Amino acid sequence: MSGPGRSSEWRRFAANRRAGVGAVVLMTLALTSLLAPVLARHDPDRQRLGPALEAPSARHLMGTDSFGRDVFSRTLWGGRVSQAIGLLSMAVSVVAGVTVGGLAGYYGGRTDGALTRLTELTITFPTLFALITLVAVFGASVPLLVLAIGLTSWPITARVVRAEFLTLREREFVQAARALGATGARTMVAHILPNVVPVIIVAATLRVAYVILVEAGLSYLGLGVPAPTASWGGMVADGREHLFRAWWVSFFPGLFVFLTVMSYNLVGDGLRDAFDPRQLAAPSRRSGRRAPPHTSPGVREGSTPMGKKFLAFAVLILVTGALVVGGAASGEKVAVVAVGTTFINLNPLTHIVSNMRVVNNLLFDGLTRFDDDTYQPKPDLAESWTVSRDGLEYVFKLRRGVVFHDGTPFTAHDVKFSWEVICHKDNARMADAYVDHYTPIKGCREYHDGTAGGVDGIEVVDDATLRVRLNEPYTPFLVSSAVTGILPRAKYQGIPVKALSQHPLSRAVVGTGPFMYVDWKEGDRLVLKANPRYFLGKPRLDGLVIRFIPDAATRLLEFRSGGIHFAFFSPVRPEDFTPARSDPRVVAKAYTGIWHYFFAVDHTNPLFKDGKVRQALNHAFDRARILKDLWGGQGTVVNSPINAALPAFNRKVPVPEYDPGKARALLREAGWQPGPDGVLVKDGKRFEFAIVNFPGTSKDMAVAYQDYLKQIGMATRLDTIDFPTLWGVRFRPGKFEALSFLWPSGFYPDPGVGLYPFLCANSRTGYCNPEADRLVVRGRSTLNPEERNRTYWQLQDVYARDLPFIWIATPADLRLASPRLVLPERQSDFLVMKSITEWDLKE
Amino acid sequence: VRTYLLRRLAQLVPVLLGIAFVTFAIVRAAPGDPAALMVDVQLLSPEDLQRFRGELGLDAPWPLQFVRIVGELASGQLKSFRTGEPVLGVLLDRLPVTAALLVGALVLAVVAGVPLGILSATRPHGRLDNWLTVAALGGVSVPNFWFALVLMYLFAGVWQLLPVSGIGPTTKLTYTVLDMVPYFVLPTTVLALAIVPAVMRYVRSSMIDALAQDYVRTARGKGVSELGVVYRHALRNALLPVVTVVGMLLPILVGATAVIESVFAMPGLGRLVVEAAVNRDYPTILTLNFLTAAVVLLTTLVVDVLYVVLDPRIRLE
Repeated sequence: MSGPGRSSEWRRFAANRRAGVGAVVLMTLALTSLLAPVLARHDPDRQRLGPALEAPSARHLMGTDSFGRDVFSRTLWGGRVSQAIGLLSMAVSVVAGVTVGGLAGYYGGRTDGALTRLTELTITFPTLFALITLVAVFGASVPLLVLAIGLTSWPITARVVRAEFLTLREREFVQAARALGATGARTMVAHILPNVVPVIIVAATLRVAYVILVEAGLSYLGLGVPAPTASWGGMVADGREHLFRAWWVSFFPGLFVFLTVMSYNLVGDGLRDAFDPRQLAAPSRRSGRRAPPHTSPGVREGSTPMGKKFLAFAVLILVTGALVVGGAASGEKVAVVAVGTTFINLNPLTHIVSNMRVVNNLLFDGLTRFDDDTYQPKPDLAESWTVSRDGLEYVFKLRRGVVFHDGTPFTAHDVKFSWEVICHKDNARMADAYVDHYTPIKGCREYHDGTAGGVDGIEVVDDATLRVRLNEPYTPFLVSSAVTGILPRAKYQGIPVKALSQHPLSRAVVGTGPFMYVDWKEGDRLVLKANPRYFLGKPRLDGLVIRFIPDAATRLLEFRSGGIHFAFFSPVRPEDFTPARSDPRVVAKAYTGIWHYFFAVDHTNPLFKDGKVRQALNHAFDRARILKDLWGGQGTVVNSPINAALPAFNRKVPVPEYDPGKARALLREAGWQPGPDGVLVKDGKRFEFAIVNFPGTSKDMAVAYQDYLKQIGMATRLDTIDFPTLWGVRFRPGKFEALSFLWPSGFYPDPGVGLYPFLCANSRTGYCNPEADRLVVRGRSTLNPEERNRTYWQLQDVYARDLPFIWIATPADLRLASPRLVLPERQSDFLVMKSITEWDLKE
Repeated sequence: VRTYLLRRLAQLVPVLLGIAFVTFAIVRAAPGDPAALMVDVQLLSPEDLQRFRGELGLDAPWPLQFVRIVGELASGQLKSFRTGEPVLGVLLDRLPVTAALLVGALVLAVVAGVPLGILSATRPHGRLDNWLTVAALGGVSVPNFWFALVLMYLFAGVWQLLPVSGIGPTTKLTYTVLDMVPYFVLPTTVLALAIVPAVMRYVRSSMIDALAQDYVRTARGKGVSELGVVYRHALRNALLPVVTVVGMLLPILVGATAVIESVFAMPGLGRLVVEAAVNRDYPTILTLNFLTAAVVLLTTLVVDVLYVVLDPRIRLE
């Protein structure tokens, strides 16, 4: 039931050159996406097609990404996802908009009032915030995205449709239909709606443009289409890290978003002009908020063009001035260190996470610390100590004259207080057996269970003497338990332990260390200043700023511009590292790696219960090749959870060789046969699972593992989640199938420290072998060093057989530093941070 | 004016209630126990959960639950998982950065959009107007995260004119507001880009209307120069309605801060939303969502009222 002269409108549209260009581009893009399987010469997910981050060439039109995947192929495939979501969300949006607008316009009155209010509400809601909230609560999935984006983007359609219905319902043909007894619904659908179709088409076209932009934005933030599906926004985000080295990875997918959206907008704009020629004379007032202003000339003098120029000029001057001022040196020696992730708090008594250990070294001192080269304990707040022959009693002589940052003197009471806080029943730190070095202290367990009012084993002899008794010998005691930072009792004793981790004083902490807390801007920086009363002398630096920069590319750029001096716990890509060696603005340092990367499976999962399957996995990965591909070959392959620098490390356990043939044979023995598509099958069940990982190197490794597992017939998915959830929730038996993770084994001064995750009682993988448990306990309670080492060697033989983890490699820790920074020479970046008092800055 | 104000305020109530209800619905509809959703699952003991249910009023009939949860959200008293402190503190901590970005972007959009709109309107459908129309469409079509990266690549990477990220120089322990200005140049520009086309198109249509008015024709007839007509007579009358555009653009801008602050690593509210989403920090994200919507709504109201107060010609029913 189209009105008269509609063909002339289509002619008008066809004559619009802009819209024509848009339509052609749009069709081309749609076609390329549809034909992606034919056009894309490369598998979008296949890695190592070419060298990583290769510039665009005839072979790879848009270059390759960091995994050597073809960006052109990925862009075409990504377009399918982005455009599909765009069109589906548009459909939802249009249906919702037409329904609301139609009802409001047709019925008017109260219905109109209520629906208009609803429209207003939706339009006032910051849509992106609302979408992020929905994704956070319900989890990202394609159906949710389609619904959520659709249901937040309908108001503009509703407004336009409402206006049309308002005018059309008064027209004769509608009145006639109603007079003939047509119901409201029938009138709306059969008589009015066909006449509103052009308006709806215009609105729909413009909506697709908007919706694609929103989806891309969400995917960019990592809250859109879940990995590993390629989507344009996600691809731009992937390339962000390599922006300054390989712009093409981000640039092309973003360009495609732009072209698509622009085309939809051009076409939509052209359609609007064609269908609504009134707008040519008096351009759209789509907002429909209020009538245009009329009448009366003489209004007061406003801002003149002269005034505007002046304003622009002033802004320019201001910016230039600020740049000059900002660039000037400040005279203070403030070193800036970047870290990848923020901290929970700064209180060593409530939390212990790897990166926080370092901050604790800056702000606090323990009774002892361990020597950087020999790993032997040496004095810190304790001047000296004695250990009884049976290894059960320690007597510490404490340093005199030490004061906390707030001026109160340090005594043995502060040590007892701090250690008792750790044992307290409300302290969650105790629950994490992984870091529990205090249960060996006599009475700690009882205090924790609430059966004792204090820890018996910690006794203050006098202000400068502390006696500690253990339940059984515990050889890591001096290098793991006694190193924890001591807090002043006077300041903290009033705070209930339950509230401690969240208390402001756990952020603005007070300790005895070389630096003092000044300020912490969440998500941005932590500011520390030198402690003039530090008992080993004031540090050479005046201050230290710790910046939270999760992004490797940003860190690199900040280095070049002098914005940061050192990056800690934040890997530099080998491809960035090599050119940095010849860059005078940075110093490139390769430290001995401390992170043991491993692939772990859930031992309670039927897929992996059979030891043959785990042995097969052990032979599936080309460890040397992974090191080469991802880390430029710097580092070592590993096969043990024990720090290779310690004598307890067993050199006789062989590193498993890469042998996919052997792996397949082992799997055959375990009953797995290749199915029609190459994926292994046993009893009708396919060998399929997800590899849980977190963004960054854990994900990079997971992508590599995926490729190798495919070669032995295992089909895997990637499940990328945030670190807190992985560590806190998923890394438990039954909560994951496989995962890509890393362990800081290389900085454990004693083998006893890193073995908790393998004990039956707190195994995170479901691995449990009573024999291994006995060896762990015997190892840490054996006083004779040779005998102790032999126990640990034996343990590593057991692990090589059981494979609690599949250890892969310890890459070198590639780090950059500013040439202005004078750093002490140390083995690892962890030790460099530990010796911060020796740092200096030169002009 | 007073009755108008009262009427608008009265309208505000159902809309605010609507926002509250939507947020409440999200909490209720979320998979799992809403109390479990609001506390750290890791550290949750059954007694804690029970206590928390009590605090949230989850054992009460649902109208009471609604009142309690909305009260907690509105006052920002829910405690974040991450810091364990009431969300309000973090919120106020992060507000200045976002406020500065928003104000900067709005000012920039007006400074750029108004002259462009006038240029466009002086000869509608002329060559310049056509180009500006295409440019405006281009402006709304650019993905802001991508544009931000392109600008970052050029200004911070290639030419090294502006700092890469953050909000102030890091080599000083303390810094002044002036030190912070260069850090806001790129983010503000990218934010403004999304709304310049809207301002421009609005000024354009408003100007075309104004130029068609009788008094403009009278002025032309009196022999006032073309520039004089445009600036002295038409512009001032055309600009006032532009004020209302600000109100309409605010929700878009606020949403965009989530992306821009993430790209440029600025500790503002937008990045907080994203961080909270990634860390599944529900109390933070729900409070933030609720309060932002409320503030945006209030601002829109203030802008509308301001418009009425400023323009004596507006007749109020």
